[in-house]
Amino acid sequence: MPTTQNANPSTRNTDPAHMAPTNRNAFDYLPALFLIVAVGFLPFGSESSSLNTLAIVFISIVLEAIPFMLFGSLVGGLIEAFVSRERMATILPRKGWLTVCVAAAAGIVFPVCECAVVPVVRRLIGKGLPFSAAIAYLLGGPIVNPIVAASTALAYAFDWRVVILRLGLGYGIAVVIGMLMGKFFAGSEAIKNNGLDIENNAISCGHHHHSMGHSHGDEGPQASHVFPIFTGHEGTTTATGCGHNHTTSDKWVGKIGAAVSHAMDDFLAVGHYLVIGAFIAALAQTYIDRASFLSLTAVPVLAVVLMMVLAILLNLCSEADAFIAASFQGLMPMPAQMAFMLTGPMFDLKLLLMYQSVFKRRAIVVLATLILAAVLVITVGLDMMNGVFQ
Amino acid sequence: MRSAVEYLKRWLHPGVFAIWMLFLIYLLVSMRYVAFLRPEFGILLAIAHLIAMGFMLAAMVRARKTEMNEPAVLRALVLLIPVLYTIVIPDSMLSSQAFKKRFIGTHNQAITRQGPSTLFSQEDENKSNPASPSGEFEGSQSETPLELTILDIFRNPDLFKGKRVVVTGMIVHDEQFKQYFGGRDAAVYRFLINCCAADALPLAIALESDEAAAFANDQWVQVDGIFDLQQIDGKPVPLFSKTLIKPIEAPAVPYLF
Repeated sequence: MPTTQNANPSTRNTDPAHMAPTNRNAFDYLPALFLIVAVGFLPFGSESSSLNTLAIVFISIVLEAIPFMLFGSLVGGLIEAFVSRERMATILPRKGWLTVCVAAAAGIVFPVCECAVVPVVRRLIGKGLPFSAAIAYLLGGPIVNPIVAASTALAYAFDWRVVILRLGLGYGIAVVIGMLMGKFFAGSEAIKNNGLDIENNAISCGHHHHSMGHSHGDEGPQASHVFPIFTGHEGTTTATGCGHNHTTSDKWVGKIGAAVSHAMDDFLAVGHYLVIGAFIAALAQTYIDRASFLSLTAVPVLAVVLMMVLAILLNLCSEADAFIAASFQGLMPMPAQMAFMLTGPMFDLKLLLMYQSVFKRRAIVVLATLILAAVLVITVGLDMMNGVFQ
Repeated sequence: MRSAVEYLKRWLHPGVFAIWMLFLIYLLVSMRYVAFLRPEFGILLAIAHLIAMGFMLAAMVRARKTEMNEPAVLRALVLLIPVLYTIVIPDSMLSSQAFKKRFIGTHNQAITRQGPSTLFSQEDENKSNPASPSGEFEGSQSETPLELTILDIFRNPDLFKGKRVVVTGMIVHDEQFKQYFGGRDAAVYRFLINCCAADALPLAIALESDEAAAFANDQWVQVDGIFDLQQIDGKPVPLFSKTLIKPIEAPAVPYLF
């Protein structure tokens, strides 16, 4: 039976946005290191055009991404406050593989870019979305959606073959990798505990839950059994997140408040990764000479690899990357352009950092390896198929 | 002193969101955001402002019973770095430095949005004379010039071949461009933005002009000249000749969208 917990509202907050992980790792130092580097690169009083470009690109990436990230966090908060696990279970198909297939295509109904999808997936996992389906949505959502289809069509002068290939391959990769990740990992082995305790089946919100009356409004008395409590890092409380107490008397207004509070936690947990990733991307954009990539395109595999590397370094939004890919028409083979459009929305520097907020390092390594291998194999395969783009 | 630090820690998150709220409002009201994003993205920033306001209120409610540890403080400070950069940035406009890093030639079909590119089609190659500009070239200088953007020309180059055209843009000259511009080292250029400055594509038209040498890199100019496509090594190169170049003030919105 779940243990009781300290429901004192004044309990020290232990939510993931506030707490340092118990097991310190290298990433604890990342914000400090970043602050030093970022201040060092400040273009204050400098006439360096490189520093100016760096600043413009950095601010641009953050400004472009932050509305989506805030919105994604809000959606995650609303899911947390309004969707119970039982409801989630009724929504999802009973067969696991079908859940993965549906999740990979969910972007058609809920179009998200890669910045918004991470906080949403964080909450969906907490609500019981199977790990494999979460991965499928994480990878498929930013590609298999109507906005990306439209931008790709526009960039490639309405060459629908490119659009269909991009969305089709993105969907296929998302499904296959989702299923493989589900085979390789139980959810608890892959997902971090900071707010998401899969092993204990705890909800992710961080509200104080116990069997004697603290639960979300629509969860009812049984909810505490469905959502056993999660002991905080310090072992003193059972909070898993924000530290708010919600009773069964919570109504709509209270739920809205809880949703915003959860959303804020999600944003604080992931937001700094976005900023750091944007800065690294801006460095790459400022100092990498794109023309130098073109001198190595004679070998198809090399062209594909180079475009994948470029996608990882540039960190472009999935809704804009097709325009950059299309600018390489006539210079890079089409499979290499496709590799660029498939890699970026699934894996780039910014996402690598943002994944840290959800997944354990081993899972990220496996996920990244699978993504890169899948894109490489498929696009090199495309290159070998004569006439596909003729 | 210690209480001040504790106070700061407690109110840091509300402060971060309050700063972001004010920052977004400032960008919207001043229209400064168009130096970084498409104008249409203003609505997204407005929505972001409202969400940040909600987060600020939620953080204020929580602040009374919250204590942050040092890593959480650092993570919150990271969120303020973009604001700091916007304050200290000397010039909110991409320049020839970005042009040189991003330019991969004039063979760029990404800008052709309404149909197959005519700039690089086989028909163009057949019609155009590699040795000399188009037939209309000689007699067209007295025409009333068409005021266009570089993007207009890239979208429909055939339409303007041999015509007298006026465009605004920035000057760039560098030895490395000779390989792209048939031995010419000067061009007039603008950046095309699809979403944000990170995806800015450089669009350049070579200048067949001695005047260009008198202008520094990134000087805003108005170029009045005859537009044409020259075939160089089988590739079409957009070109202005018989030019009149005069310096102008930088436009309020430096990018093309």
